[in-house]
Amino acid sequence: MNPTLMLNFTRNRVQSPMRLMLFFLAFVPPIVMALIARSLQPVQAGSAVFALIFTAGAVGQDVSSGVLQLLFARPVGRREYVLSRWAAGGLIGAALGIAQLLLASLVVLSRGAAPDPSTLLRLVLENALGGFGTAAVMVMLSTLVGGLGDVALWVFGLMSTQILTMAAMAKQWDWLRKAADELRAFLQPELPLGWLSGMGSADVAVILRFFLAIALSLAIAVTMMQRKELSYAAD
Amino acid sequence: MTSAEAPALLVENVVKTYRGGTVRALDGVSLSVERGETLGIIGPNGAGKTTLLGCLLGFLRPDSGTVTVDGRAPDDLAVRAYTGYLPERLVLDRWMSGTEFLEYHHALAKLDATARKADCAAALERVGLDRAAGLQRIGKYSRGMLQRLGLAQALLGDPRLLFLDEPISGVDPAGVLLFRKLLAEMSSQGVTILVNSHQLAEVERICSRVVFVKKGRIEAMETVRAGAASARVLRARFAAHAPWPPAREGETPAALLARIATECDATWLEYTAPDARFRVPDDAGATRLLSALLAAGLPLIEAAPDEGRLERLFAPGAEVRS
Repeated sequence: MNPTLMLNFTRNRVQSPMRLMLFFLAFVPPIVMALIARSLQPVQAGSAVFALIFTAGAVGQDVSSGVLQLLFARPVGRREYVLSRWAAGGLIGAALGIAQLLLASLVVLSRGAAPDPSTLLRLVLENALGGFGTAAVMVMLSTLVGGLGDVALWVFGLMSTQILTMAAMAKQWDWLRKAADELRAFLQPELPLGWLSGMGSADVAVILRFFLAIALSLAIAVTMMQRKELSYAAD
Repeated sequence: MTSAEAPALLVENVVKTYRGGTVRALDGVSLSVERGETLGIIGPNGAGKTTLLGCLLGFLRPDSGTVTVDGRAPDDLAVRAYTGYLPERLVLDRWMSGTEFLEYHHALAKLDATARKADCAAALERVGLDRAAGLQRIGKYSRGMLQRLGLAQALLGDPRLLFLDEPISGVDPAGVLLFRKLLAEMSSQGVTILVNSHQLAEVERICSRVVFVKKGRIEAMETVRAGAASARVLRARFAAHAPWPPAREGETPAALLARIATECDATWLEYTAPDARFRVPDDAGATRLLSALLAAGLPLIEAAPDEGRLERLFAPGAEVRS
């Protein structure tokens, strides 16, 4: 992980008016909804959305714009670059998700509905992990296509899981439904931590699946990046 | 071979193709660049120059053949720690200021953080950008200012190896003079410099050797700025209307020049009145040749290292001499 790359990536992301507008739309309305509903329900998965907004095009935009030539002329490894993109995207997502959650908690508290501390802690942890999970998937997709093609790829992937699920239900193919579930879990990695606040017991398979999704995403991203050739002559 | 003994850059029989092998960008290129040498890469568009530079920088992987930098792989991070690079298409974060951009690259280069501010201010000054320009957003820079900033980042950390792709493209005359001065300084400090450029006159001024790339091959390699002990090409000019001494029977002016050259270990290359070109083995050879031409009674009025010969490489049907 390279702090210089992480800081520069963060600064670069907040320069985009489009991202800031999307951030505003994803940040404020759920807090208003929490205020109305007097519940933290609307702000439970904020970090994944923020990670998506701020990590989209993390690598693809660099490849398309041509800034990588200058970057990789420096003593910066490609794995270091990919992991820094992921860490920065995950941190942005997690930090904003937690900020939204805490703000919503204050709003809910002001309406006289104090959130349960253990539930709040669980949501904070889930948000933190969710941000890093989504960032890993987006960085991986971003190494596959240029520009913001990763968002299209992500949406296409999720739509495919819906179609596969419907096909599985129609044909009563359980294996296809499971495959669609796995693909969806891979594209939207989240780790429910209800067991931390006494809601059921920890499911090791779910925990493993979450961390494997991150590890696999990053492994694919690093491999793709290592194989990538960087020259406009190659276009 | 240890890295201390290895040439600064060694390219051995490199082949690089695109589009599934249908486009052969480099076709068996071999090249060796010594430490401290300033090498120019010239050639027509699509000749393979940028691909060659891409392979040398480790951005592209050759299909076959090897590229080493100081005996290491070109993408070795240890090599990159002392490499400076100015790309042809300078894509910078437009929201940064010039100073921020340099500080970013100073940090990426893992240079001493305590000297960051001072190093970046010095780098800006070195390329003729003042403090106000440094504080300006890159988005507001002119093409020439961008090129200067690009050179400033390439010079950060005093690299031992410098790759410059079209360095003076879009630069004003004052900038060209500055670039020339800086490159001469770097060269005198023993920095190995590679310049890829279409500005032939500038390449001729800056470089000690030039390779001419065409259709993915090195078609010619010319020593441009020779040392006293190096062979080079001399251009001699004769008075247009002055009479020549009586020649041997049937001897043309070209034959006469060839004979005189042979007698003093030089090689006659061509004669197109009023100019003749000779290859001489060294400074002493040049003196012998010029003395012999005068002694033969030829109306020699001017002699100089042959400049502008790089243009000839681009002439249609040019006969290339390596």
